[in-house]
Order: sequence, then C-alpha cells, then structure tokens
Amino acid sequence: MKKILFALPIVLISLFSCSKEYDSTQNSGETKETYIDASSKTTWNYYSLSEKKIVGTGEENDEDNESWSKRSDWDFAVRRYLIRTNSGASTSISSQGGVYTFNSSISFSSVSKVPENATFVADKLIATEEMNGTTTNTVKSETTVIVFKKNEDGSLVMPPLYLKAPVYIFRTANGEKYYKVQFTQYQNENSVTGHVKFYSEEIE
Amino acid sequence: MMIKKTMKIKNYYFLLLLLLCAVSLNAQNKFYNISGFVLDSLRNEPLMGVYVTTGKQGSQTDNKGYFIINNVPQGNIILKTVYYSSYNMITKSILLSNDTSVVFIMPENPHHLEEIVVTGTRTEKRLSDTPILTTVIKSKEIQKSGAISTLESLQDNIPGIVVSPNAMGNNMLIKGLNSRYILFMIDGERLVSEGASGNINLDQIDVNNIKRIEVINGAASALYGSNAVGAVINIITKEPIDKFEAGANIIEESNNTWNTKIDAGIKLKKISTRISAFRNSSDGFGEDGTGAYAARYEDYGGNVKLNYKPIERFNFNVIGRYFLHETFNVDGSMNVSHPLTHTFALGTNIGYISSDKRNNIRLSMNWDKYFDYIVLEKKNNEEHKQNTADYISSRLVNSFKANEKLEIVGGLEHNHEENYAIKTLGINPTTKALDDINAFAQADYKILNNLDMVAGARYTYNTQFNFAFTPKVSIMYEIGGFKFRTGIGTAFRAPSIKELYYDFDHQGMFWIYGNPDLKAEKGLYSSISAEYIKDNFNGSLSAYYNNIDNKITQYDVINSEGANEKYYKNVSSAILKGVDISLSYILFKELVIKGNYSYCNAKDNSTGLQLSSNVKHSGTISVTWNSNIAHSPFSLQIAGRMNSPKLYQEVLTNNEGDETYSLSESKTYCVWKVVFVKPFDIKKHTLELTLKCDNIFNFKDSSFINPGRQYLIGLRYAFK
Repeated sequence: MKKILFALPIVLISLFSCSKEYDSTQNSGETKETYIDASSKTTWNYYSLSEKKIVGTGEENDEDNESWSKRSDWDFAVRRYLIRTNSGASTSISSQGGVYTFNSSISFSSVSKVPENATFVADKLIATEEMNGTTTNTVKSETTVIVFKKNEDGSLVMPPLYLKAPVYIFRTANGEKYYKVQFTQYQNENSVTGHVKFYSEEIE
Repeated sequence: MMIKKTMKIKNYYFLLLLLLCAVSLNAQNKFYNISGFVLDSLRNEPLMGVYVTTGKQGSQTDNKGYFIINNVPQGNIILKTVYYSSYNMITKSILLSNDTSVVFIMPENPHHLEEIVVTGTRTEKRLSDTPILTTVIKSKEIQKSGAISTLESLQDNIPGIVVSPNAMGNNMLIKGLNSRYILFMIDGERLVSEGASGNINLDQIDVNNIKRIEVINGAASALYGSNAVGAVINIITKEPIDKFEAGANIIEESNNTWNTKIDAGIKLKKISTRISAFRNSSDGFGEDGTGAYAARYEDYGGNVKLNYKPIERFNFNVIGRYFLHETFNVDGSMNVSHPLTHTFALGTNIGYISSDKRNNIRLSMNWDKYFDYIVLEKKNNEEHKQNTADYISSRLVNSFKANEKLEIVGGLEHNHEENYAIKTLGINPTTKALDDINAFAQADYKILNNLDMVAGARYTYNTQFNFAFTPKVSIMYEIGGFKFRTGIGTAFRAPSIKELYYDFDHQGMFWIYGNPDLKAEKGLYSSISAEYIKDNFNGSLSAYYNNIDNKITQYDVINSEGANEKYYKNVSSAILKGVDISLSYILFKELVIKGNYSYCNAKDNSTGLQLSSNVKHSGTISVTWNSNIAHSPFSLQIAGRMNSPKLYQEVLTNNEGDETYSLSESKTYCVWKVVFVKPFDIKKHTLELTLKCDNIFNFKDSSFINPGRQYLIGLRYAFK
C-alpha cells in the first residue's frame, strides 16, 4: 500500500510532463537548449555537440572555409538559417559528420536512438540561382534552421512563413556519437532574424 | 301685397334656374382621381420617378412606385408613362367614371444606357452619351454573380486580370501592368498604395457597399494625374435611397470563410447618412502539403457617409472608412510575429451650384492612411509599427456649362504623399514626403448633334521630378446606331517614394537602394472603338496602342564584397497593343448573355519578351437566366473566366539541392462558377438566398493560388 502511494505521484508527474513538447525535464535531464547569434550574413558559427559550445567563427570566404575544413573540433555550423556539417565538401580531413532528417510528424521527445538504415547526408557545393540569373555557390548542408513554406511554383510564401522544424540527427565529426537536434527559434521576441535556438541531446 | 307675391315667384324661379344650372354643370364636369403603381416587370419592384401623364396633367411616382393624379375630368383618358428611354413607354386607355386605380408593369432594357457615369469626364453623363468608353458593373449584376469580394466582381467583368495573392495583398495585374499603372479610386478619390508594386488591398472595400464600378481603359492622367496609365477603376459606393433602410448579410464559404455585414441608412429632406460595418474571416487553405496556400485572416471594416443639403444648390459631404486586416501563421510555425494592417480614410467636400445652374463647384479634401504593423506573439501581442503611407488630396473643381454644346471642367489639385518606415528607407526610422500641385481642364464640345469632342490637359509640378504635361483629345461620332470613339492621350506615373528612397537590406539576402533622380514614366495611349446598340444587343470593339516609356526597372549589381545590390533606373519601355471585344445580348427577355474577350500583346522592349504575367488571350462569359417560380423571381448564372497560358518563374530544386529558376508555361486558366439567387419580397422586407459553387471544375495549376472547388451559402436581408 505504501509503495503504491509512493509510486503514484511519480507516475502522475511523468504523465503530465510527457504532454509538453519542449519540457526539458521530461528527458533524462541532458537536453541542452543552446542560443547562437547567427544574425551576421557572412559569419559561420562553428559548434561542438560534445563540448556543448561554439568553438569559433569563420567568414564565408575560401580562406576561412579552408582552415575550418581541416579541423575536427566542430560538428556543425550555422550562418543565418544555413547549416554546415563537418562532412563531405566541408571537410578536407574526411570528418564523418552529416545529418539525418526525420519526418516532420516525429516529435523531439519520441526520438531515443538512431533509426536503423538511417543515411546521413554529407555537405555539398550547392548552387542557388538568384532571380537575376546570377548563381551563388556555397558549401553547406541541404538542411536548414528553418523550413520555408513554399508556393506550388517553388517560390517562397511571402512574408516568409517558417514551418515547424523537423527533428535532425547530427553525427559528430569523429563519426562516433549521435545527437538529436531540433531548432526552436530563428527570430528573437522582437522579430529580429538570425537569433537561433535549438535543443540537442545525445542519443544511441 | 301683389308685389311681394311676384317677388317670391321670381325668387323661386331664379333658385330653380340656379339649381338646374348647377345640376347641368355637374353633369358635364365630374372629376376623379387616378392613382396606382408603376413596377419593374422582372422583379415587381417599384420604380421611382416615373412620370405618369394624361397629356394635360401628371404626377411622378414616389419611392414606393405610387402616383396620384387628382381632379381628372371624366371621360376617355389615355395615360402614358414617361421614364428613361431604356424602359419602353406604356400607354393605357381608360374610361374615367369614378376614382380609378391603375398598375403599370414596365419592362427594362438591361443595357443600362441611362445609367449615370462620372469617371470619363468628372461630370455626370449618361452611359450612352459619354465620349469616353466606360465599362459599368452594377450592384445588381454583382449580386447575381455571387461575387463576395471587390476583386471577384472585377475579375468577372474585366478580362486579363491575374492575381498572385499573399498575406500582403492581391498583387493584381491587368494586361501585365501591376497596380502602379492602374488608378484605383473610391468615389473619385485615390486609394493609398501600400507596397513597392503599388499593391492595394481591395478587401477594404465592402462589395455589398458598391453601387457600381466604372472602368476606363487607357490614359486618363489629364483628369486624374499619376498612375492613370493602364486603366482607371472607380468604385462608386451606395447612398441611402429610402427614408430608412437597413440590411444585414451573412455568407459562409468553404474553408470556414465567413463574411458578415450590417448597414443602415436614413434619408431625410436635408440630411442623409449611411453607415455599414463588416467582418470577414477565413481559415485559409493549403496549410499542409505543397499545394496552393493562403493564410488564415480576420478583417474588420466600417464605412460612414454623411450628406447635408440645406438648400437645393448646396451640399456638404463627409466620408469615413476604416479597415483592419490581420493574417496568421500556421499552427506550430516558428514565426514569432504576424502582420496586421490598418487603413483609414477621412474625406469631406462641399458642392455649390450657381443660381443659373451653369456652374457646379466642388471643394474636397481626402486623407487616406495605411499602417503596417507586426504583432509580437511572444511579447503579449505587442504591436510594432513597421511602415505607414499617407495620401492627402485637396481639390477645387468647377464644371461650367457654357451653353448646350459646351461644358468645361477645370480644377486645381494639391497632393501630399508621405511614407514612414522603420528600416526600409534607412537604418533608422525615416519619413519621406513628396508633393505635387496640378492645374487641369477638360472641355466637352458638341460640334454637331452626332459629333462630340473632348479635349483636356493637366499640368503637374512635382517636388521631385519637376514637370509633367499630359494632354488628351478624343472624338465620338454617332451614325446609324453606331458610336465611334477615337482618342489619343498621355499619362504619367510618378516614381513612388519607395523607388526613390529605398535603403535597406532585405532579409539579409540583398540590399535595395532607391534612386532619387528617377524621372516620371510616360505613357502615350491611342485607341479607336466602335459601339453598337440595337434592341437586345449591345456590342463594342476597341483597339489600342499604349506606349509606356521611361519605365522604372530594378537591376542588380554585385558589389566588391560579392553581395547583391538592387537599384532602380528609368531604362525600359513597354508597348501594349491589343483588342477588346464586349458583347451583351438578351434572349427571350429572360436570358442575359454577356461576354468579354481581350487580346493583349505586352512587350518589354529591353528583353523583347512579354511583360511577365501578361496573358495574350483572356475572356469572361456569363449567362444569366432571370425567371419566376410561381410569380416569385430568381436568377441562375453560369459564369466563366479564361486566360491563355502565361509564363511564370518556377524555382526547381534538384537532387543535389541546387536551386534554379526556370521559365514555365501555365495551363490554360479556366474557372467556372454557378450561382443561384432567390429573393423573397414581403412588403418592405427582402430576404435573398444565394447558393454558389465556385471553380466547379476544380481547376488547379502551380501558377494559380486558389483552393479549388468551393461552396457558398449566403443570406441577405434588406428593409426599405
């Protein structure tokens, strides 16, 4: 009887906490909420998931890109809403980073391990054509902080509408650990863009 | 004694004679009253202002269609109705021997030729007499077409309209020209434009408040100034007709779209007023998936009109208008704010007619202001102002009727335009303003009975681009049922404050810089048209050539840091040439068939390509069946709009994530609707039911933002 009475509040608490999406207490307590000021149009902010901190910044130019490609102390980088992982075209030392994207219906709390047969997409040199015909080439991941709602003809809905971000799994540069990440903010409370926030947690 | 007796006898005979005279007089001249009603044949609606006459006496029907002619001598009387020539005269022969009641049922020729229009000349003219070809969309037609927005009523009647709606507005284009080249007015006053492309949210105009819409194609800058390059669309709003009137509407359409509205009006001898308020909302569509998308919104609006006429020749008017538009993000979105816009307008004018009725002077002032806010959802829905735009117009106009043949309209106008922006006109909040003063005049001269000439010009001094002189001349010639009109006119479009003074980086993607040295765009418009009206048929054909020069375009420069900068310059020109055909035919008195076809070749001379979003072939068609079930009227309409395929930019992403633009061709755009309207008239009350299925064939295309097939039910109540 005493055991049941003792267990009851714990059961009740866990029931209530499961109902909230971003309640960090529901998990093992290791979910980290991080803030990155990624408002600069030209600066990449390089982040380490295991160190749980920004390890440095670099400009979008050949020189900085090259020097960061030789480093293994970062797992992913953010510039505005663009993401770069330490993989593929972003690394010159064969770092094993990369990202897996879940279906948008999957919630952050429901992910506890890497799905079987998950393929991690590496960075590429991606060409983006502007309306005037010029093309910008950037080494980056195909995933982004925000998912823009698009019209049927591929153009962005205006004013920009940021859909709910899917849950990502980032693989660390050394290829050994996995972290689930979900971006929760792109604009600060005053609607200024580039103020990124995300939840991250190590998973199996 | 004898004399008294004789006197008495004489008196008696005299009295008898008088009595006989009186009796015989009475027998010759009995007078009776003739009274009754005059009704419209189609809807049994009373017709006001119809003159019923015996030839010697007569009286006009009041707002209930009732007339009374007193003291008509008995005998054979022939009664005639005298009304607009669009109604056939009716004759009734009666043998008057007591007070008689008569009812006249008058059939109307629905070409509305006697409709009064104002836009072409800034004076009241019958549609059949106006020297400028005008398209009129009447409120009854709007009701029968089931149009629930001002935009829809324009799309039903003007071919070639393309819309790319988003939360910021309709982004309407006609013949490839955006809203900057179309002058939108409400009751002759310009609406302030909101965005860089001159976008105006037409939802601020309650479609139920529209009395009629007048559309003129081509240049009209002589009378109206800037922007009247491609077309002028003047929306005339309702005025109270009855002593007391009230109404309410409620409409429900698919996607949880609700439009509700109430209105009331009073018309007394010297004062009349009309007030209305509406609320429109919708859940939008396309939240899930990749198809067409429109945001959820909530709109509120109100209008008030006050007219004071202390004496016949003097009137004073006040108008007020308010509109709020709020759009919301989808559930779960990461946006922390959503847009909210307010528009308000305040205007006043005084009119005076001289005692000889030759001069009609009007002094007016109108202020239209637009506010653009964002609502910060994480800060307790705090509203942050982003931009405002003001347009203040003051004008003195006189229309002078020199004689039966010559009428001159002239005036002076001052316009003030002001924009405030927190970051788009500079890093810090900035206000920029422009002023212009104008003198304009237009003369309408009836050279011969069937030959009319209109000549006018406007002289503008603008604080930014200095001078513009825009003359125009047009001629109308009537012969054998045909009306030929030809004209040539110039127009200008002043560079907007945004094009002049933009200074901001857009979403961190590129910078936009205005160019304060921009010159006004110029348009040269020439047209020729023929209109033919006979019995149940009304057709017009017009051909035009519109040369727009000094067109302001945006161009890109990559700066030393590799960033994209956009600038404006007067570099290009466009030539628009085409043909418009308009037909209207009434079959068997009950079936009204209307069609419009437009061919437009709109070429951008700098690229040699068609202006983006121009559709070469476009048309509208409607067939309305007006009939009765057990003496109760109804109307059933099938209407369609068609546009030939248009080119549009498509953004394609390949497997590697590369994004490219490609020019794609849309499908032939073809949208049909079916509308059933059934009014129920019970004494002073009217209840009208509308059932509509829009886009019945569920037309969809990547270039077209529309939810597909929709169903609507509406109920309208009116009290008169």
